[in-house]
Amino acid sequence: MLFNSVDFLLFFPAVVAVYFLLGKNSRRISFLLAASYFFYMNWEPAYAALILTSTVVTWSCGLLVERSAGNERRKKGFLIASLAINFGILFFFKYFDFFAESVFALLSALGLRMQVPGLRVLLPVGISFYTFQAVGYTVDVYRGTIRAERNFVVYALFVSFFPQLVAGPIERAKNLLPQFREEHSFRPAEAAEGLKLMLWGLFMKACVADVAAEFVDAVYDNVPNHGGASLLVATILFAFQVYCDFAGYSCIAAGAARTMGFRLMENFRQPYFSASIKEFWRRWHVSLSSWLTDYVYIPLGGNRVPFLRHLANLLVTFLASGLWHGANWTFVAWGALHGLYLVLETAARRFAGDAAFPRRPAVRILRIPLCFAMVCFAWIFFRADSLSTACAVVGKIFGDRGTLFETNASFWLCSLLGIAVLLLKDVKDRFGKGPLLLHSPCGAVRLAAAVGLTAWILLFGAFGSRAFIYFQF
Amino acid sequence: MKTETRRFLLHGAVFAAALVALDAAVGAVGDFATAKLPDSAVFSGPFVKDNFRLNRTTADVVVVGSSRVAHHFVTAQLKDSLDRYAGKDLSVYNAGIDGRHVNSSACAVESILERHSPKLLLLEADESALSDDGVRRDIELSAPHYRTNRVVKRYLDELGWRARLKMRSNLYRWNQKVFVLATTIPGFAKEDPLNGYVPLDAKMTAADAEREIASLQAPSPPDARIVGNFSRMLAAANAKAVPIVVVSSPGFHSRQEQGTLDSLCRDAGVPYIDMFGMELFDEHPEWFADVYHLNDDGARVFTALFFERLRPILDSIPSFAR
Repeated sequence: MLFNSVDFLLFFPAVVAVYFLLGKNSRRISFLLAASYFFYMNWEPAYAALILTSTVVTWSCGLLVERSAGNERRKKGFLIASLAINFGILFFFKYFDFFAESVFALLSALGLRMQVPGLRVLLPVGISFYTFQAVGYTVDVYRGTIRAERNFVVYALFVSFFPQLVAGPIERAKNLLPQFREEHSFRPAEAAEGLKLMLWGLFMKACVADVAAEFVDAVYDNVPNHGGASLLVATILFAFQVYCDFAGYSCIAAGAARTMGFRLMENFRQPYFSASIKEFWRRWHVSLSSWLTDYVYIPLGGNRVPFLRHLANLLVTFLASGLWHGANWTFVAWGALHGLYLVLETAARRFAGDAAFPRRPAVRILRIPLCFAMVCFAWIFFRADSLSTACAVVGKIFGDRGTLFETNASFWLCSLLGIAVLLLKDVKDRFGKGPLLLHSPCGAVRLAAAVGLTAWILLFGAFGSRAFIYFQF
Repeated sequence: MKTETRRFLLHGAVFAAALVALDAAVGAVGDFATAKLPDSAVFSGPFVKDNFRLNRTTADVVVVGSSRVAHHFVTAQLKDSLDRYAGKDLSVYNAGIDGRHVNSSACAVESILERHSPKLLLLEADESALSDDGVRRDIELSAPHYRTNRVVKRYLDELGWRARLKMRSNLYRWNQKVFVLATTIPGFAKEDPLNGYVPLDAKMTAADAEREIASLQAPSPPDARIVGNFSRMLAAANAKAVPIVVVSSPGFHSRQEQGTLDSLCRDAGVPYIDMFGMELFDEHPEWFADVYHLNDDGARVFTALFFERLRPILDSIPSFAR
């Protein structure tokens, strides 16, 4: 069930209404759990078994890890069992074919002809998100950061909470679990806030991401027939598409949760106004970046190791990030590119100090488009379907200008107006003071903004039932 | 009920009322503007053409279908051949629109038949257009006509409860089409001297063709609902005694069997001209813009060859009898 579908338009109000009418918290939690499984099973009922498996394994291992306090070997054994089962499922469904194809290619390159079997199974929606969330919980229990959850229903809801189940944010147990134990009464201000967030998220998805996608897909799905100009424009539009698709989802997720009284972590903070790649990663997909920092980068030693090892840690973390996104060398290259950017940035900071990144506002403003260009360059690898296609795109952008792919005027009006509104809001959020129209102190302005935004979505949004990009991860 | 909750519900009601009022206004303006859209010999985008084929055309010969009609049937050439054959000055209109497949075409044919009896209807389709793969929803592109054209309403209603619900919103009906209103501004619309024909200039190379063919996916089997609509449309033409001919125009190295299409036409007693896999076209990639679309050179060759195949059928149509 997509957030931008008629089904969700009916499902969500019904769930919220029943949730608040149920009264007792235990009933509410059980109901939310059932609703979340119903939501997920709309895609492929059989894959609910995978979430259930992940839930049962991490919940039991969490309890066993806690009960093994004092016996470090036993404790570590349960942790490893939990990680092995969860990452094993993830590997089997997401990476097996990629691994098999890569081995086959390697063997072929070595002159050995061998048939490596492929599974060709359908990737379960959101598997990377809920696996990381569940694994994070087990590690937190192991580290003693949180207590193991006794109530299975509460824990099962933590893993499968429908607003953030399929595309995050990847929540931390210490933030979300306590919220499920509390009783939430209906708070109109929170509900209004949640609905506004959902409206803005829908705008990002329907009026920017899906509109831009029409041009991006037409060009990127047929790279040999397009010149550098079209590919450059398509890459810039893709930067907005992927941002609005994912941030839009996160907004709808946070809004849906807020309407019921839950607070999810902020996943995006105007990332395209970053003045460095380091800052970009503090503003882009925050829940994944912080997860990788806490569970990969810091255990590797973080920056409290010799300098070269620190750089290697950065590179490894970003390779993991790339691989998390998808089972394709293009994602690995995307991660490696970001890792390389950070390595260069970190080295420049170390050797040139503040001179490398002056803090004067005028210089910072000039660094923003540079950072955006570097991010866009990396998006080429993220969007292309193979490394050779990505290289062809780069070659054409820098070597063959060509003519701009013609499309209708209404597309340009819709997409550019959408991007303009998005940038205005981001600029206001990042640099401005005072509330935006949807949060104006004047009720009439708030109402006009909400009606106007809804009408805009319906009039100019793209409703081709396009799934969110991050569902595939 | 708490004051805060009451206020929240009140605000919600005001929001809903304002949205309904705006929705009604957009619906009224949209319907008014549709009536003011430029008329026949004008082409300013697919919506204007859709409006013309659904609600206005009174041409003697109408060719209906997708982009493969818009780019394949050279209207002036076809008219010339038909005029010479019949010894009359016939009006011919190419009503092909990009991305409008069998469902949309069937709806257009039924709409035309509701208000007009052409001397001949030509419908371009091929077997792959009978499979769903999302194309059944092509009719949603005609959503602005939901309230004013009962055939469009029937086709949209048949899509299911979700479509019926969406059609309640005028804002949604006009989704991404509001800029069409600009064509009602005098002088904005462009003249269309080609009567619906849209020539393509690009020339496909053998390498392009190879790459495209390699990326093609096998079509799904025919969809029962699309097949049903196709048969209903043929029956509607037969009931009104309007001659209709179904034709599959060429694709490059297209080898799909047209069995379902052939048997549907045979069952309805409708002539079917299968030129889909014509080998002559396989030898000339330069006649194509891509594997599915002929360029202007190819379209001229096709139109001439098509007319030769149509000629024996015309002999049996009284209005064309010499």
